[in-house]
Amino acid sequence: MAAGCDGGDSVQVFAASSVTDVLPAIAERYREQHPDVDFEFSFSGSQTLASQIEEGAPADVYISANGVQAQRLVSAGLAAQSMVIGENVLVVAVRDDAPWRTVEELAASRPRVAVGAADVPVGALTETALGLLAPAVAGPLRQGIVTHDPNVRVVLSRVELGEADAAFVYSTDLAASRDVRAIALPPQLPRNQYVAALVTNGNDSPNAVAAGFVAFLRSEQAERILSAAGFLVAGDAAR
Amino acid sequence: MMGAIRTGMRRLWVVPSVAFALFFILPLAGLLLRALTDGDVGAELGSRTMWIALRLSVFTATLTLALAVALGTPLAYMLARSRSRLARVAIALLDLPLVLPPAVAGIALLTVFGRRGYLGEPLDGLGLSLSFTTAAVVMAQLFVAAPYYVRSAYAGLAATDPGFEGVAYTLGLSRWRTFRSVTLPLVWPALAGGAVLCWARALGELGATLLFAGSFPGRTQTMPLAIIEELGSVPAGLAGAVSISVVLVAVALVLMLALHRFTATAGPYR
Repeated sequence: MAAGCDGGDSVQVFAASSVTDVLPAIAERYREQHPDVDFEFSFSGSQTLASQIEEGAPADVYISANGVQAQRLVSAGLAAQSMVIGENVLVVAVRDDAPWRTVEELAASRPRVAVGAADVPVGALTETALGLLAPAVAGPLRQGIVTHDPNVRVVLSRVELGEADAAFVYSTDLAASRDVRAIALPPQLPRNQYVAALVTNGNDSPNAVAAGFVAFLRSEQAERILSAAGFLVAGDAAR
Repeated sequence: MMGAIRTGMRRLWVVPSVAFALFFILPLAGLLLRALTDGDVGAELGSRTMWIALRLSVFTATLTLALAVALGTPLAYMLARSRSRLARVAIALLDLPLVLPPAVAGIALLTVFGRRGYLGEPLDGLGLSLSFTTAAVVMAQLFVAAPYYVRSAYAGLAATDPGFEGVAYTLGLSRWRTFRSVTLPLVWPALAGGAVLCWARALGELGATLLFAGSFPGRTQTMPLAIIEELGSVPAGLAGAVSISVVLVAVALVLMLALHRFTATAGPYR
């Protein structure tokens, strides 16, 4: 395995922007039991990371904010053992001091709205959500769109900076953000799945250290950290 | 004897020159090759979004250049002819936007002109909002790219001997005639070089534009923003981004050559 060559047990983790805060915490917990393992993180959009891995970037673990990209790498023989580690939902972020409690109230005041670009996962889900809302609600929200941003962190920053009144983001993005709260969207909206995969780069013998970490992501310890950050985890159903 | 040394020297220069040139040529060739194999340049050429982004990019970068020349030339002239300490501080500050990461430049613009900015908030109260408009795109580009022009114009003007201007004045030439027939021909290469740099930097601007102006097709989505969006898109991803990039590189190349030709022939030498 290529990454094994840099000496020591170093694991290169390529992960979606939305796990930027929670993943290092999980790795830290893992290191309590495996102090000889070092982690290096690279956070970006899931699609961008998948492209980098296809270009031969030295990743050991890939965590996607969407099942599609992980599946694409598995189909291409570049990754294996993909599994869901958590889920989140799409919400509308507004500032704490904003007067709105529901999307109906929000729509009635003709807000400025930030969304993800339609061909980026968060934007596609936003489009689905707007389709589920009543036309009288979806109409003003659509008309209020001022920007189609390339990733979800940028979308959220619009509300944090006060440039937009509302932003369609994942529930977990709000965990790290102060002064911002969520307005719920229709419950029939599909959840968004986070998938972890072991990157093999077409190699037969996968990095055993990386495999250990991927397995750990499904442990109760990891799930507790994910859950605290607002992710819905498999254990939730059992508890 | 000298000739032999010169030939030897020339050979010595060739190796790093060619290697360095290849460092730039190979990635561009790689981009083109990848676009032709994986990407679909034909589909991009047929894409309305791409043409809208391209038109906006060329329009805003050209407007940025016009503003940089109109406002930056007097500033550069003043700085070059001033001996005050204030001018020296201003010259140092001129380099600051070049060091600033563009995203930081975008945030800096927001603190002043954003909806909650020091000037933006009162303006917003008057119903005038700058963020997410084409004006914001030009402001972001101007902030990031104009220093390249002003810096180059200043260097050119500072290197010309003000004595020539003095002689022209004693011969009875007006200030404008002096600038036009004495100063301008001397600094023309510096102005033209700075202009090309400024226009090119404006065309490639991404970070400041994204933060200050957002990304809205036809209004604020320039080519670099369209490319970054494509990079994160499913399923196009890298292949789509590479295809649009090739179009941007091709258009930039043609316009740069035209600009170079224009500045070389339309100079005040005639």
